[in-house]
Amino acid sequence: MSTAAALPVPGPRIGLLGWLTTTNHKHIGILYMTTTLGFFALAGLMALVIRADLTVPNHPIVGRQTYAELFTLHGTAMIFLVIAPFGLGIANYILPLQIGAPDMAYPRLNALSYWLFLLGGLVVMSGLLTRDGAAAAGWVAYAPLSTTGSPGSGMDLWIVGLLMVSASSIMTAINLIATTVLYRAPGMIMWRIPVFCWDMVVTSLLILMAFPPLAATLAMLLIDRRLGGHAFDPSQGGSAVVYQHLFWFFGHPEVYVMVLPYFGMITEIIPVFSRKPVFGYTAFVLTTLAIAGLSMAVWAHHMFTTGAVLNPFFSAMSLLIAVPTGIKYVNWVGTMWRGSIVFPTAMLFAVGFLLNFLIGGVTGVMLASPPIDFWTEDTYFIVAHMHYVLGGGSLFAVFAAVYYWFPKITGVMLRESWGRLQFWLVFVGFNATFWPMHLLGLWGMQRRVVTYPALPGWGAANLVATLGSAVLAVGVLVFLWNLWVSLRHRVPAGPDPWGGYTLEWATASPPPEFNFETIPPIRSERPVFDLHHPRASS
Amino acid sequence: MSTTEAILLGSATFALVVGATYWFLSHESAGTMMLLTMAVGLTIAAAYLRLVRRRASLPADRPDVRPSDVREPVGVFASRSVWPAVLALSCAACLTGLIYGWWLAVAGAGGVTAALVGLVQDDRAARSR
Repeated sequence: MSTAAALPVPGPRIGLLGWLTTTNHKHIGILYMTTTLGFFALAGLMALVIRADLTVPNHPIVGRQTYAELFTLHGTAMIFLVIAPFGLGIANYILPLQIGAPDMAYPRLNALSYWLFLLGGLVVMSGLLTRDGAAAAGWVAYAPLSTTGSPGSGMDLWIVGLLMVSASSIMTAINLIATTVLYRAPGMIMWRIPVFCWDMVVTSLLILMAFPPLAATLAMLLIDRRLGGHAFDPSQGGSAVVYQHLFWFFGHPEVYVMVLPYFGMITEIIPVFSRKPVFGYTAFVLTTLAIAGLSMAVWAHHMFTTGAVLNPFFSAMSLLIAVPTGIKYVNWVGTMWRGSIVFPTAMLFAVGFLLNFLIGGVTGVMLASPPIDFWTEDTYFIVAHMHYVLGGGSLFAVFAAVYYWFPKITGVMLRESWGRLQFWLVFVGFNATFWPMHLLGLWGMQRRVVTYPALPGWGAANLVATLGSAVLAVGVLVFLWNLWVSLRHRVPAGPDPWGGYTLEWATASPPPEFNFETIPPIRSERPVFDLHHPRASS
Repeated sequence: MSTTEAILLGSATFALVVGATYWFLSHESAGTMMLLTMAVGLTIAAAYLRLVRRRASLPADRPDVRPSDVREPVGVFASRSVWPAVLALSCAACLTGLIYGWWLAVAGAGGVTAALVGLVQDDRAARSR
């Protein structure tokens, strides 16, 4: 790993007006990432209040309505405003660099996507300032809880805000696909683009198929609430079950919109720190496509208990997803196998991702079986499962990606010592928070309840979870401290501090306005490695 | 057939097969319609790419070409514009107007119109440079 470096080239200061009017993909990427960090802080604070409320049995510290608003906005923020858009944000910055493009295909559309995302998120959160409070129908907002059950304007603001976020995601997806198809550097055929770019193309296709049904559902919900519609009102010929079909036709692919970009990021990081090419590049791409295709056909495994869907069909399709996902684990482990592995913070978080996502994946296979799903429906087992997939999986990959690409984006290194401390705090805190929830769920503790009875084991498991969440929060504070220290006392990174393989490491850190002075010849998916090691690559 | 077309057509075929299987097993119309719509949408995208590819081939699709061999400009990229932010703000006003009053929706619609005109003029100015 090279640490020798020239002083970082400070980017031109662009000022407030510059940020407001920028159409440069790198600035927009930074805007996305910092905005998601803000929403992450807000959602994290909500989670801490939720955990504090559940520390001991029969002693809630907030009222039922406030609790419902907290878990609704926490889930909404993490899913729509943090995990998915962070992936889009980092793709905004990194994807054009990785394919040798000067910018995104449609820079103004890109800027519009960001502003719609920011304002949509703020509209959702502004429900907290209304007289009747914010949306409180859960992040899935099932009818009739979200129609007749939520009369306040907070629910309307939730719908309108998410409509804007949906439009933003669709525009970004169009932009990412167009950029990858049209603006690859000469010689970079599709089978030479980095795996992260493949994952973003497939994620974008998923967004284009899944988000229009969400937008339509939200529009129908708004019409039902504001304009006298009855789409989801069974007493007037509507159907609440159709809401679930439409929502989950978006909702399950959305899980992969939140996971596939992070698969891609991890697959950039593991080979570099294992000093090997990715094991099974083609298999990795094909399994990404297989996961995306299957994810479009499993929506109703979220509806097993409605009695209105064909459970064996959805169970079989859901179980099938384990096959391509398992092959990905072979890719990752095969890449590390007999590699010269080093463990900077980015690699630690990547390995943390592998371990946590495996737990989330295994419980996913369990939940694909209707008898187990019937037993655990709406219990803390589901909370544990989804947090292992999206928190232990995606969120660990977020930190891995930040540690890996921060030097490219800012030109300076993050401190490894603080990074390692953060990793262990987050890893221990995360598992202490969410592992006990598996047990609580199997013991029958329902989710979305403001308090619970003092049944054997429940108090102890909840206490451990709350203490774990405090450790996790300290880990996040260490991360923020690391950002602050590293930006105040700058250690120059140079163009390629990790010995990277892909094109972003062939330009300055941070890159100039249109990214490259020259682009090296592209003869494989590792053009920078080929450039630096011509004998090995031949 | 290019890789992108193959992916789109392959996904469309998958959606068609799954949609048909699902219909014969369940006779459930909502999910069947969504899967078939997905198949149609993907087929349209693949057909469009096929149509466009007949007119132009990209240097990126030629495996032996070097970046230094290509001299023509990559494209035209806007440097900055205030209109995307204005358009997003106007959309927010327009939509929240459904909650807080039609006056806000009308003001938002005015902003949307102004921003769209501004964006088109921006584009014309960039291309004439």
